[in-house]
Amino acid sequence: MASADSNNNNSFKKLGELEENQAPQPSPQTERNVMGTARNVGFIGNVLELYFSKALGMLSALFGGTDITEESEKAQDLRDGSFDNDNTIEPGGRAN
Amino acid sequence: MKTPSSFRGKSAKSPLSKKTDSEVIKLYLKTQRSDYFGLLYQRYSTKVFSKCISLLKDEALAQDATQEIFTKIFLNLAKFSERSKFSTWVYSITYNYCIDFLRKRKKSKALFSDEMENPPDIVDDVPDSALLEMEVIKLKKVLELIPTGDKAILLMKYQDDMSIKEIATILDKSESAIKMKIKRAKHKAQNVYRDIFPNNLN
Repeated sequence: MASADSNNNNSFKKLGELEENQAPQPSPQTERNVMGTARNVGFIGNVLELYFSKALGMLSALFGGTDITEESEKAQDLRDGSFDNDNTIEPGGRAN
Repeated sequence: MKTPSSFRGKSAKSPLSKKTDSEVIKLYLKTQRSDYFGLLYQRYSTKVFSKCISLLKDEALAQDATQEIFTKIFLNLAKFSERSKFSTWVYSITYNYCIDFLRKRKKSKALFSDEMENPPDIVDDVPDSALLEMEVIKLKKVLELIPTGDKAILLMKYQDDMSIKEIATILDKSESAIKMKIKRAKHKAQNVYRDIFPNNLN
């Protein structure tokens, strides 16, 4: 925003303020449309973010590939040292 | 500043209203909550609408333009790089939209003085003070009578303090072409002023 000093010497800025004060408001319908677009796009973005990776994994599995999310979960388990799904090792690590 | 209907009354007391544009944008991008975008709409919609009326000279067209401009702002918010002020970015989208719209509508008519078939030769440079110190009502009249492109370029430079480089980007022209357009627009404005206010020395 321009300072008061620069406004005093600048008729363009004074005109801008005058026109802004005299101009009617954009209609409530315009506001509703803009905010409606914002909400809808936000919602679609969230849906895509949540489900798109799952859907990709399912499609990949459907066509014979490996589910990426499943793979990455396994890799994460390995990094974390969690072997919950591994039934070849006895609880407590004792060998038979 | 006037505020749009759904925000009237509550936003002035909200701690959100104290946040800078940059902080609000970061919050919006982080949370995707539409009320943050609503706050940006509240801050700029009247200015954008007023500029659209001034350039398009039609309130209904200005309503549609304001909606399109804010949709563009919303869809490109993540690309806003903070190299310029947010207000400059918003106004650049506004000018861009309006000039594009007028170009499409007035295919045969020149939007800028230097696009006319025989642009007049410019001998002397018009000093900035000749325009900046003009009486506001007279300046308004002069701006109404010069080509809309000339008006837009003068508003970008003297009302919104845009740099030559920023104007060149908006109009997709070289910086030297913009300097020439500004020179011609000032010249045109001064000539119109002399025509309609012949008894004035200003």
